[in-house]
Amino acid sequence: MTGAARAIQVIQARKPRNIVYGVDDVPPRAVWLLSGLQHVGLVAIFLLVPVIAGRQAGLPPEKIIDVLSLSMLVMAVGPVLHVLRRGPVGSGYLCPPIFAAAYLPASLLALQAGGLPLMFGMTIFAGVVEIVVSRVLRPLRPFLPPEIAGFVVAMIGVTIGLLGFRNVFGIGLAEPPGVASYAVAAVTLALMVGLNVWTTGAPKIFCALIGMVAGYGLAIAAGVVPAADIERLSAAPIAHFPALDHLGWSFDAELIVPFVVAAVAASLRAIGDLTICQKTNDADWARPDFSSISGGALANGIGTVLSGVLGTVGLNTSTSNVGMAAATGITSRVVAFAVGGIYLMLAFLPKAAIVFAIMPVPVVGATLLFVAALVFVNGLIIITSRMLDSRRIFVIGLSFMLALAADVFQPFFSQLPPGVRVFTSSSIVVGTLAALLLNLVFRLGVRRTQTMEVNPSAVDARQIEEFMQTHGAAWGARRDVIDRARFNLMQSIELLADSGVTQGALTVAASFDEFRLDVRVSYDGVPLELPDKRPTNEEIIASYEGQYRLAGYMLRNLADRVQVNNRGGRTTVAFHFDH
Amino acid sequence: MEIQEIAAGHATILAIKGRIDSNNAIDLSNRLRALYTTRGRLLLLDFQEIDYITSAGFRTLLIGRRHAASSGGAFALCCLSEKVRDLFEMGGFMENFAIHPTREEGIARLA
Repeated sequence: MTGAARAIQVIQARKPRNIVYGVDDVPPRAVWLLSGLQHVGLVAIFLLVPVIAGRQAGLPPEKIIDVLSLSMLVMAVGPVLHVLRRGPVGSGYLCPPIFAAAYLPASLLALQAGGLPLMFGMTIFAGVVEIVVSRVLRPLRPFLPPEIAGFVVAMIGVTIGLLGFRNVFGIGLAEPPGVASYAVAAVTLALMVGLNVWTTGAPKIFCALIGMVAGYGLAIAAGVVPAADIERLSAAPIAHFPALDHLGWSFDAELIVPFVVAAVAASLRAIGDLTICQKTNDADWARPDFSSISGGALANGIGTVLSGVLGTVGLNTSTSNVGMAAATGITSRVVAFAVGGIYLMLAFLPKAAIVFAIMPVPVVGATLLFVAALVFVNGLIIITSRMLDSRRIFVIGLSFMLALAADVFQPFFSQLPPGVRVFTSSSIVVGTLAALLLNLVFRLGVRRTQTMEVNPSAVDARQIEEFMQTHGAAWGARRDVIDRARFNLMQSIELLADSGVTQGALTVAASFDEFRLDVRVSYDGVPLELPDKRPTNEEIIASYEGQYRLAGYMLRNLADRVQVNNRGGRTTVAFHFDH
Repeated sequence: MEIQEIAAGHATILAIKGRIDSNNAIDLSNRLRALYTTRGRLLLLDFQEIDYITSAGFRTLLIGRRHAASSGGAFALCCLSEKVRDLFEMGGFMENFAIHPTREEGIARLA
């Protein structure tokens, strides 16, 4: 699909009611600026990821400021790459990326093995892998069905939620955070949720920003901000132009596997995040649009290559940001430019960047919990938009259990051989790989065309319903499409039986692929009348003839396309439903 | 199809469950005719548990509405699910019947 065609597809989507400023709307300047600030604030803690990597590498403080500044430059480019629509790059959605947690384990391995140059070089390699993966996503789409995209989204929600929980309750810390810290988290979360649920207008759309600012203020007042963070802030220069002399790049074949796994995990996460973007912006969303997803995954890859070139950690789409866009109802593309502009400014103003980066931990935790709730439920909605038969139930159910096990039983997974461990680095990677593998196994033996015979003199409505329900669920078809097809089948059989058009057995054949459902009814007899003009109420009441014409009219209208063929006295009525 | 008759003040509710097709439309038709033998009958058909309705069912509803008009009564519907509403729209029936979102509203409008 061309860039122009992609643009049309995005614009044509019907805006859901809860979205105040949709993807193509331009909100007032104050709104898009504050919304940009809200997005930057939301993921502020992740700005410390490259700082941590720099410290691990033993860089002196002034060099760490360079790393932070160059990282901000990458972050400035990321959101803009994502909203592009012309050419192959960009998803067309507001989807600000963030330093990918998926790259951290691999990056730390690279730091140990060869210092910063190896981390930067391998990050470029991972970006290239992401670019390659983005080019093969479209042909792979039969193996990436919506329920798996929904599962990935739900798992991301769980991961963000657990991270939020860890921040709020100080899990893993030697000392619990204390009552003041809990109070800050509680007030922040209550404020965000309360404003989102019970207010409208500005308080609702800026609920996260208001919560963060209030939480930050409360944390300072309560003395929750660590002294080390305050020192870091006071030590940072106000303005600074980054030097590049610490940059260098190298490559180590032994690190290919961990970086490839991280790149694939990042790509899978992008599928989930961009699925949320599409669903958030389209009231009639039916399935992931892989044209937009490929563009977004390509933008991620380019962003990661740039990360390596400018010496920071790889980028990935941020579920927290797309979740917040949905929660606040501002998904406008222009917000991406505000986000990019703010990061650009922070690149040259390290003190301001540090203000974001040292956002108090309980505030970060509360914000992540707020977003996680929305992302998790979004994932469940995507999963249940499809009919789930026993195959799909096991694909989702078993993968979910395995993913949770990877988090809960970390000691067990960490004892696995290194070759296996790269595939079990996080619950999302474990769960997604399991879902993809199980989906592949369960695809075996699912016939795409099913047939049955119906005796028009003894129509069994239950049998016909079960036919559509059972096969619809095995195919993972959309519930609403199966409902329409089921009605069409019942109505056409009723019409054939009542009007006496045929006496012999009817043959029903239903075929499915991801993009259409075809239902064919064949019988010996003359073609059914499928009028394009509705009979009047008087005609319908006056005789059964009027009722039959109403049936034909409804059959024609409920399907997306209808074809009637007659060969040698055998008629086939084919109903096509777009899926 | 199952029909439950419920008295609601001056009105009568028919809560219908299942599908309305050519196999059972005659039962509903007979029920409506019998109810409208009482003049001024205010009738609300609750479609909350209707799975689908075919052309035979729509014909029955049109006939029911005519009985209501000729007996000085009223005929209204409520609680259509989204998929049943689609069928009403597809058949061009949304304008032909008084359709209310809830039972309470339907009763209030009938009274």
